[in-house]
Amino acid sequence: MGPLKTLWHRLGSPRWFYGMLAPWQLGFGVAALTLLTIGTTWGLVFAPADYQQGESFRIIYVHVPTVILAQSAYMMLGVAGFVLLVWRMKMADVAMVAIVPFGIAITVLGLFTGAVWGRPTWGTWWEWTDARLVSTLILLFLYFGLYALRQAIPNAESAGRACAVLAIVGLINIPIIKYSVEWWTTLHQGSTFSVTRVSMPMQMWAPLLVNVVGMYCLFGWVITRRMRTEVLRRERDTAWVNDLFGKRL
Amino acid sequence: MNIEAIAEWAAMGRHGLYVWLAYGSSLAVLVGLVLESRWSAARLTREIEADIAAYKESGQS
Amino acid sequence: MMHLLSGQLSREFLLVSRVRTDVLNPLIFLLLSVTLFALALEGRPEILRVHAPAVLWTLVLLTNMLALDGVFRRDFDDGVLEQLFLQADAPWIAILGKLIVHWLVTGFAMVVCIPLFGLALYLPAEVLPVLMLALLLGTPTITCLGAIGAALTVGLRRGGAILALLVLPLLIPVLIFGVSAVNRVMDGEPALAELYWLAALSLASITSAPFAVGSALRISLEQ
Repeated sequence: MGPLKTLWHRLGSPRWFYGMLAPWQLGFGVAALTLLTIGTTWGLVFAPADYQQGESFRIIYVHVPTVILAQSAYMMLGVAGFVLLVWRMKMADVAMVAIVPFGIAITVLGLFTGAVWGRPTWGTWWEWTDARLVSTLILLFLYFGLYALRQAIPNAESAGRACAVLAIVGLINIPIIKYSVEWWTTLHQGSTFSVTRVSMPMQMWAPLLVNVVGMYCLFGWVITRRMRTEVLRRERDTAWVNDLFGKRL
Repeated sequence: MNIEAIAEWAAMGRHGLYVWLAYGSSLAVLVGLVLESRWSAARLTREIEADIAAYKESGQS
Repeated sequence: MMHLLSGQLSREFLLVSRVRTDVLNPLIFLLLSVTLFALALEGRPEILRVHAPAVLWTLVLLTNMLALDGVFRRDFDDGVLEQLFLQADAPWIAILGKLIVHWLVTGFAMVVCIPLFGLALYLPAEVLPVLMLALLLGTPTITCLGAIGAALTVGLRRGGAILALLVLPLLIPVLIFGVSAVNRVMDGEPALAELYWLAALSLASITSAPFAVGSALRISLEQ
């Protein structure tokens, strides 16, 4: 329990938190750049084309990591919200502030690349009877709600806790929303998109795996960078921030 | 690797437009996210340094 | 426990009976929007009939959003809510009471009036019972989830638009199962699965919403 408890207390210190994240940020940045370069080059140049979809199959290497991150980021929002409400850990609120803009950008990108992939593959940019497209759109609305709520509440602390409640309610509802949308689309067997085939050869899924991990690292970089900024913004009138920047003058 | 081979690769079968649209938009959004995160950090740093400088000046005069 | 709840219920009913427009406004709004739809679709029975389930469910959702905006506002403004958290041993009982009364005057009132609106949109009479049943099972979820959004935005001057943005995405399952139930019966199929789903969602939200609303109200009061 010793070291864990120390870590827990340290997490309450913005100063320690700010410094601790710096090496993580660097590590995430280097890893993201390396992995995404390797995965994208591999996917674009060396991976074989799909025998049915042809070259448009290569969109999978940007689309799938994006959508995975869109969902993971919301899950982390829910977890951060839970931590904030239960243990009142302020750094969880800082994390939520950092995650929401990333989530909005990545979800919009997921919808756009999905549409661009849908056009050559299924002949349509958008299909209301496709469960994954529709539930991604709903996810975007959930992100918008969190963003709007935080903007609307002037008191920062209340805004954080209100967003935490909303994020948790949203997280509980996501499986129900997904299930209901899937249920509804199976009733309308218009055009069921099936992307994932049972056996994708290794040369096809390996670059995808690299890009997924790379995208998680990019998420790590963006979140650590934005969390550090947010910590500074909240602590700008304290002695440690003044010491930190006073030395540079 | 000659020019024709590169051109053929860039054409991506008949789907060049879609592939490059997807990759281009992804690059734009991700780079945009990274740059915005850096800019907001730099902006805040400048503000804090300006505050400190103003404070030191007022102390000296 | 029960006398706490009944006390709360009688207080809420007294309040509602004093401000009758709270009950009438949503219903009139619903009637008005049904009229707008009927006119916009040029009153053609074959088109109206096909779209009636979707139109009615969408309008019920939107009308509820308008009505929910005010569910805690008066108590928030005159300090009753603050009293509630200071004094009551179990504020969630009072919250449950508020939700029940609010559902009775909006959700349940809509269930009672919906056959009229359905007939106005040329819905066949044999579909009306399932429409009523689906609404009866679906509206408690709308009230409960909506109340969480209302509690989060009660301190804001213009909470209404945000409330809809926060809550409507969460209510998409209710819309899907509700419309699907009515459409199934129109096609001559059983709609039991959809109705079970609506009932399950309502049970889950009735049992959990009072606590979520309670913590949301506490946050709004701290501002």
